[in-house]
Amino acid sequence: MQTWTRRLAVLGSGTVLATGLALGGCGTSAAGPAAAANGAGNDTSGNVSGADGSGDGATATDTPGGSDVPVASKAPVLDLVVDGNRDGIAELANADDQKFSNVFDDKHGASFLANLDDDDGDTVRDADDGVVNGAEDEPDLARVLVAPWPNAPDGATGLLTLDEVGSQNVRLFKKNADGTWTLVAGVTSTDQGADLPAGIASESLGCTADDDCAVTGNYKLEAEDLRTGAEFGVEARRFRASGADGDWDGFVHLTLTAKDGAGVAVKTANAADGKEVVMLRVAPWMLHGNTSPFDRVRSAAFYSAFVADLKIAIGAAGLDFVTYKSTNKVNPKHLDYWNDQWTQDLYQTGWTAMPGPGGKMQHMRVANARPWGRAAGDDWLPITWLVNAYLAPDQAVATFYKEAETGSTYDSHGNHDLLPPYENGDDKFPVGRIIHGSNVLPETKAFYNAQQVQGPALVIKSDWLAVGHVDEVLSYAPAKTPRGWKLLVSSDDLALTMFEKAQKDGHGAVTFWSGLSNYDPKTDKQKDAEVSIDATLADVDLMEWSQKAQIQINGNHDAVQKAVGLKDDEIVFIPCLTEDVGGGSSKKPENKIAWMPGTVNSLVFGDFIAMPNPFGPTIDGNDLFAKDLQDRLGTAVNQLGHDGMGMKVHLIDDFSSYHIAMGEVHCGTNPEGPPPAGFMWWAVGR
Amino acid sequence: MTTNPITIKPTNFQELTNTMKPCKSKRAVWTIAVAAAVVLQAGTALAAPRATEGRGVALTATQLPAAARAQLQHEIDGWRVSHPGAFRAVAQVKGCSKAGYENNRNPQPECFRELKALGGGVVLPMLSALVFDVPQGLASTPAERTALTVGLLRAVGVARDPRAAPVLKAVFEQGAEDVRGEAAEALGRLGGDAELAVLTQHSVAGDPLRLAALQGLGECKRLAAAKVLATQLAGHPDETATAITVRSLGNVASSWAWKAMVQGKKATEAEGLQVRTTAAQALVPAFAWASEANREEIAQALQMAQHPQSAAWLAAAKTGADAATARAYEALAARLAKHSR
Repeated sequence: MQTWTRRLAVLGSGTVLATGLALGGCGTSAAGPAAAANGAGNDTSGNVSGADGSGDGATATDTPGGSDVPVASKAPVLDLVVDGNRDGIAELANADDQKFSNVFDDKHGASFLANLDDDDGDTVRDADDGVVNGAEDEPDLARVLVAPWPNAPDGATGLLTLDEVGSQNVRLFKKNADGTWTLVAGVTSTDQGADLPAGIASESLGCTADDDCAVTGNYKLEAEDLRTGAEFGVEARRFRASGADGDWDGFVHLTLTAKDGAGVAVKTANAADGKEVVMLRVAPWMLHGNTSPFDRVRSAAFYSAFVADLKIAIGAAGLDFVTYKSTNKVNPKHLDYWNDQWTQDLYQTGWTAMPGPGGKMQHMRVANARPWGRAAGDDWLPITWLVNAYLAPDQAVATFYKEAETGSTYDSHGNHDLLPPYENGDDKFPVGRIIHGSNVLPETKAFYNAQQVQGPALVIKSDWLAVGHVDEVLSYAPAKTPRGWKLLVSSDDLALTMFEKAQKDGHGAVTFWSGLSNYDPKTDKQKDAEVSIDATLADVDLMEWSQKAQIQINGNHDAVQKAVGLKDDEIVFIPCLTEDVGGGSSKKPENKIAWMPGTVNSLVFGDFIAMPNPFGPTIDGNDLFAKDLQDRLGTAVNQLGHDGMGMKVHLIDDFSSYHIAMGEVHCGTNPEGPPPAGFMWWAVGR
Repeated sequence: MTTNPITIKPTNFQELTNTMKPCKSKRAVWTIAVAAAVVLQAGTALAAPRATEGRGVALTATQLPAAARAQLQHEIDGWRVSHPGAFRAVAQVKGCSKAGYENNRNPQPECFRELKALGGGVVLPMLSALVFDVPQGLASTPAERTALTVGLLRAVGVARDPRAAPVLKAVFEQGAEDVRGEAAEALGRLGGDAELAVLTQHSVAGDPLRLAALQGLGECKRLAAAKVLATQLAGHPDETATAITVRSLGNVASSWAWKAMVQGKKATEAEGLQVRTTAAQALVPAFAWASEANREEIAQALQMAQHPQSAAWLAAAKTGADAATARAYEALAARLAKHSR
């Protein structure tokens, strides 16, 4: 604990109004970094006023508020402070910031951001260019304050040292007297990945002594720095990538040591060993789930019917709808064009945040790219499009894979989702839990688990599907229940039951379109392939495949139900029959795909659900399956929606555009938004 | 008969081309070019010469017995004259050529769904593509050719046209290893005595086609097939053979499939129950000695069979089993009970 005389008055914005650092001795006031806010463009170096040094030998006094506030003395000062109390402001005079500067648990400890957005709009991520990118970027730096040692003698020096592994993953900037920032430590080279799409460099390439990037492990403070104190900002160049031994654990430790004018190591009461140490944890990447507060949806604009239906649904919810056109031009370098209609798959939307002033999160949205594109070459990697289309102020882009053009269908992000928050005994996932299917790249799994708070990921079997994605069989919807959400599960059993009932009710001859063409020998021509309910129920192969699919779904259902502790009435079944396209091997004996539009494969945003139009048989003037979806999801029967009165069901024509191409509405859309309210990852405790 | 007034239409070709060409005028040109190519392809198919020495995607014609080859060629030639549209239909299948699948969610060649939808009227063009001549442009790369072969075999099998038997037998016995299982399944679907005999003959230990034969027997919805599989399982085959045999027992005993058989008047409920009984009674004891992975396969197969007496048989099997196995039987019984229909 150091000796200060006045408490600090700080606005919610973080601007220091009256920081009185009574740093007496010579009767001079020292302008120093009394407080600096994460999440605000504060300027401590120029705004300090009202110093009222109490002279030599000052001791701790009581403040009007009653808390201990120390006063300055001639004694050497060796003090570092971070935002240990998580109020978004690092304050030298704050006892909790002082006390909790070198811990991280569910209540205390500072964090910092992987600064992967682009606040100056130069299409280079802020962590990649070695500068602080303007006033908007300053809040993205977590503050580390060096307390003034007003009486530091001439010749005194300090050394701010970063731990070795941490230094390879962060940049440390020092704020200058004129308000500018200078990169002083951590990764100090600025040309990393210059020839690669953003995101490739910093996540996949470590920066170690063996690499060609420069790492500076410490910064020397001169006597004047020590006298005035110093303000530093720290950013991470990447998220924590794995929990493996030797990999970065996500923490950076900064150690301050000092020598007096005679070169003798300084020791103080609070740093008896001559070392003042603080730590910060890099904020995790957080995945969005169906109950997130989305405010924008993106999709391809390739198909008019799909877009028109989607526009109505998204408009009704008041969300932005952003589309991109098709192209096969090499490297279009334009955000309005891309060659992949599977918007859900080519990137994933998440966020990252640290505590900001005023109880708010200092956050940025994060889109991470799939490792492969639909054409060869870097120009067609999803990260290339993300850099052009998504990267912006407070919108970050990243890659979590080791090597571009690796992975498979399982690494498309429709195979990766988030279970909404739950507790089940000792398993507590207050900010949701990642769920993914089979055969995900090992580094992706390691990445998810390394984020800790939304993991360990729940892994379910999806390799029985031809596409292999969890969104083909599972979804989640808000509900007015104690848990707040219910699981939606695709059900061949339910579809069969519905067909059987329709047949029993005398509608067996009703036909519906299968979506493909049938050859008619009578006319020697092709026509729309239609099938009757009777023929469907007599289709031996379809029934066998659907039954097998149901059994696989049962396994998925059981795994999620057991993990979450769902009661049976917290599961809503969505009807669909399944076929198998064949080509199975002993390693992958099944290749199932939705035979009819896979309606569970839907986009959920707020109390809205955009579902594939099932185009089922029409009975008594109603589409059998569309009516069922409306009854099942759009009424109070299952307590869905925040008011329990049902979801607002919108049917989207994705038949020709997505269903036939082995996907549905969820696969063709991607929602994004800010962090969910209350998702304070730092309070999770792991 | 009530008909469904659905107004949706097949995939809008114009929209598909839009995905590739943002320029409207170029798009029109491209569309015309593609249409012309389709016509040319169809023309190629129509003009294909008699191909007694031809090569299909799965076999060369000479791999068929001479008599069967001649008979099939005769039928194909006749159908080509009377039903040229059938050959055009197969020639226009898109899913196994790059332009047709590269925008699929999982961009792998897949054309079974298209071929199945075309129906039984294209069996002869499909057999022709398997053995005699492959319409140009259907598949180019090895992966595409494999996918086309799978699609054709599967669609032919699903059509259950006995004229396919010689081709399916030849592919099963002489075709590439990665399509033999599919050919065996198709043989099983034909389900005649000859097909059953072929599959049974090759299902024994030591036969190089054993695994494919076991796979094929699962699609042969006959009591005899179930008995062969049960016998093989009782012999404690190796891990892989056990997995396939178990899976096939589940398939052959699929209660939903047997219901469909009854629905289509192809079998009686009693026949189905006999098969399901045979399968379930073979699966229950195998659970005791099977590996963990194969216990999962058995659990799934028993769910397929969905036999009303499974619970009783599991309870009986538990008696006398060691404690761990007994617990596993109990868990299995609970799982079956939870998801019983």
